[in-house]
Amino acid sequence: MPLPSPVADYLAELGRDLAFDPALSRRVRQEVEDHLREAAIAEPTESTIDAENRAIMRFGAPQKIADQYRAVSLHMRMKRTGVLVLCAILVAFGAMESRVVWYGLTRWDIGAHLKSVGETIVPIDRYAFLLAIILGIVGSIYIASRPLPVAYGPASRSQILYAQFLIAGAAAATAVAVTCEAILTSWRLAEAHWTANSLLPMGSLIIEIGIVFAALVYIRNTVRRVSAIMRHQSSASGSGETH
Amino acid sequence: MEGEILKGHLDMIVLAALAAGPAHGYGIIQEIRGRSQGAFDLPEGTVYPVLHRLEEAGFLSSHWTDGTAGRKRRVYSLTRKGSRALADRRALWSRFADAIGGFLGETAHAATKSSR
Repeated sequence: MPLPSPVADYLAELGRDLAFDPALSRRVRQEVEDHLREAAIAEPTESTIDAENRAIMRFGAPQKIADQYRAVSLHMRMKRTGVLVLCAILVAFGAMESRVVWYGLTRWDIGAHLKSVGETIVPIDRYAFLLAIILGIVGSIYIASRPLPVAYGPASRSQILYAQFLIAGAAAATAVAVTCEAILTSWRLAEAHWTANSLLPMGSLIIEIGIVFAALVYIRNTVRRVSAIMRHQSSASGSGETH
Repeated sequence: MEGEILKGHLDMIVLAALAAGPAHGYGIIQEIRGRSQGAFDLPEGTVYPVLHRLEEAGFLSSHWTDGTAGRKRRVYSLTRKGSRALADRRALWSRFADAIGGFLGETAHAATKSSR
């Protein structure tokens, strides 16, 4: 039977409270374990369990420690999401431009039907992309310019929601632009009956779709994390906990 | 010292504790306790989120080293940005402390005069 260890129990509880950010949770638990073991050794007592309990008492409640990490974790996650969306927009732009240059170099003409479809789709593509750039830049600058919050509260909550709205909007607009590009490029490739010239447009389109898909998945995970933390905070404040 | 007052200055205190050189969390807490002669006695766990926030803000850098008993230990040090921030905060604190000291001194002086 394993010996009871207050430190191990404390770390397990801290891990549960930090479950919203698995990487942060691992790091903090390792760091806290080092602290508590060292503090317990320094305790002038014969019993290891007593020494560990004293060290834990001086350390503070795991929920309170986790609460302080929450605000910073959310802020940093939103910052990274903004950077990722901007990168996705840049890659999509590079891919689109490379196709335009390629069509010019290979003197790739399109049929009348695709031309008429393009008249409808190209403006949607352009405006969606322009909107994506504007929202992405504004969202990223906004969250990067906010100071890191000391604690989670109404101010940091509204900052996160505002940044999330802008960044998710940018990603959605990019997805619309990439969908338009996918329609036009697929049509063009189908018309050309898949020659060797098709490789660059096809490759660039795959890259574009891949990065935008990755950005959308990351945003979905961010939104889930934000919602989970906000639910936790609301239920904690509803049950009378103080933060 | 009152915990709430202390919390408002914890960033500056942690930065100042690291001005002496790189240290791990426990070492930083010992440094704070020692230099304040026990006056700054916060729950020790509150220092770790502060270290994390200061690191994310670019004021500190950290790396894992081998600690005792095969455990990993995270060691923090001030970055150039952190040193600049500490110097700014020291200057600000000095002005603030002078102003408050002057004000409280005058108030105390006036109160003593009026009570005579």
